[in-house]
Amino acid sequence: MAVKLKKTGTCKYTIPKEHNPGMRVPGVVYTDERLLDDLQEDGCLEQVANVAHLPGIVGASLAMPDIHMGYGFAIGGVAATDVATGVISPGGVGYDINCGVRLITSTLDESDVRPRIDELLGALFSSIPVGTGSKGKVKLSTAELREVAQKGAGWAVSKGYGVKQDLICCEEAGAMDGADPDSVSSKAYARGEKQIGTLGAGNHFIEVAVVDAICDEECARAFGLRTKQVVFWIHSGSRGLGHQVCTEYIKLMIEAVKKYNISLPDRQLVCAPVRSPEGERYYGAMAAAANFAWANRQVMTHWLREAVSRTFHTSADQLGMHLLYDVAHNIAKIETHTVDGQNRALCVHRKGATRSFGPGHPLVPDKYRRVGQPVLVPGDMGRSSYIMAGTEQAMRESFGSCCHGAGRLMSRSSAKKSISGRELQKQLAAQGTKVRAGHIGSLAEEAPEVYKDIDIVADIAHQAGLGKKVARLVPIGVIKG
Amino acid sequence: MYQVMGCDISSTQPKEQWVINAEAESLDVLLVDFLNEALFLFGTKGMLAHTLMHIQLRHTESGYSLIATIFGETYCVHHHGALKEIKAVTFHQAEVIEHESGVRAQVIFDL
Repeated sequence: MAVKLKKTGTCKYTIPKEHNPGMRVPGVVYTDERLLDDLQEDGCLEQVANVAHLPGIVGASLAMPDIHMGYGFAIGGVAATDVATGVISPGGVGYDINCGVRLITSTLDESDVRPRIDELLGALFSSIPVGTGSKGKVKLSTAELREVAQKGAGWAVSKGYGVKQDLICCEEAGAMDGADPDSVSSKAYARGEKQIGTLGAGNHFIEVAVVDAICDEECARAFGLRTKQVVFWIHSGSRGLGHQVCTEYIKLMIEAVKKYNISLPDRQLVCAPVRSPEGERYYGAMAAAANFAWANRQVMTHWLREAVSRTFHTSADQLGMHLLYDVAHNIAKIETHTVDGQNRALCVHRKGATRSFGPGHPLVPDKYRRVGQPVLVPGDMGRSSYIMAGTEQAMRESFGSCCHGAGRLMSRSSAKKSISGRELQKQLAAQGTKVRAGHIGSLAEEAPEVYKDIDIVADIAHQAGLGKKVARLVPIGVIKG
Repeated sequence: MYQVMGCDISSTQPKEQWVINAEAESLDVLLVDFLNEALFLFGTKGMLAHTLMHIQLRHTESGYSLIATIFGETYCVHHHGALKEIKAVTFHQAEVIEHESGVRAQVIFDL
């Protein structure tokens, strides 16, 4: 049954509280007529309404323009709960804790790289382990993993995987405060011991892209972007360690909701008060897994730099391979936001949503503070991606949040019926994007047509004021897990 | 689960043995737990299950317990080919429904 939506602003629709008597706040969906029918068919709007049942939720249960159905929480959802009276939910972060993206710039031009893209992809494919069951080149003991859990990307830099400047360009400087290695189980550490520096599978990727268009000159200058410039994406997360943390804490929270007498419409939304023993333990474990993810992306960055450097016989430094930014898009963070004129400490769950802090915010690195934080929005293998900038309006509208990608339109099983991996690989090559995959059969599940049109999604985010379009990127080479 | 991962279990042999213990208050949570444990063993030991034997399902004071012995072999990319990754077995819409003729179970994987 269709969820009744009321248009309440530019690219903004409201699900009134009356939709379901248990809703504590309304739902707010950032979309427009181009995507509405798909949303109604997808089932995600009901999930947005379900999230509005969470105790202590503030403002509204929010849906970013790339919203699509998830497990309990919709993917592309944002829920902020009051730290003093609200809850924290592992499902609101997801299994892949701190799944995120980073973008590395270069001084290379499209004309330098296109003729050598096969060679470059080969170098990347042999340097960075990809796919299911792939083992990293680094095996860590539990003691080392505990250090990673506390220091995040800083651990990787201290071991020679990158430079200190990289840390400045990561959200949280690549390590969240409050990480508690004791809250991570031995099973989670066991899953992580051979996985640092591995891409994984599914929708994770490494992409060689070209800046196709500049949408905002001032922001592009601040971000160091120019047309025809070659840049590199890395999309990965906390691997098995994070998956295990989420699995175990969801089970723990199934008991916690009974203990705290919390009534929810979907078991996958299970939660505990932020300031309860269960909530605090989860936060400590989640932050530890998030730090593992930052270290993971940092190690891969080092190997990516080495592979590019080998291919072009020039040092990564000379090639200007600087980290533009690294964002977490599956995370819960304690942040201060102004609500009804008052500053409040909130636990902001971003489940498939990117932070979008605006100009002047103290948590935005100095070099970007004048224009707002870089918001990285990867699209699909056949079309484009966007770099956006955080806005003041996002601070008011969405607790400083924006979309995290294009958003899935078609299930994985439907996608496989429409095209084979090999056919897709040929099709993309003909369009100018070379692809190498760890599991060719899964490639079809990531075909461009299974995603919403990123141009529309970015346009909605821009019009709604959740982020400002800075540059559009097109892929020329992709590595999938 | 192995079918979702794209693994042809008929091509594996019962060469090695693993034991899974699970406890939960309900059958659906027990099923999710059991499968997550199998996923953990795949992730850490490369367990590909060929045969499930000696399954002991018991009612306990707090719900159910399960002990299962699994025979199979260790995953090797060169022998079994590249597989798809399952991140987790979710509790989303998980259910176990007992019928006169048997049991119908549903779980959703996060891929």
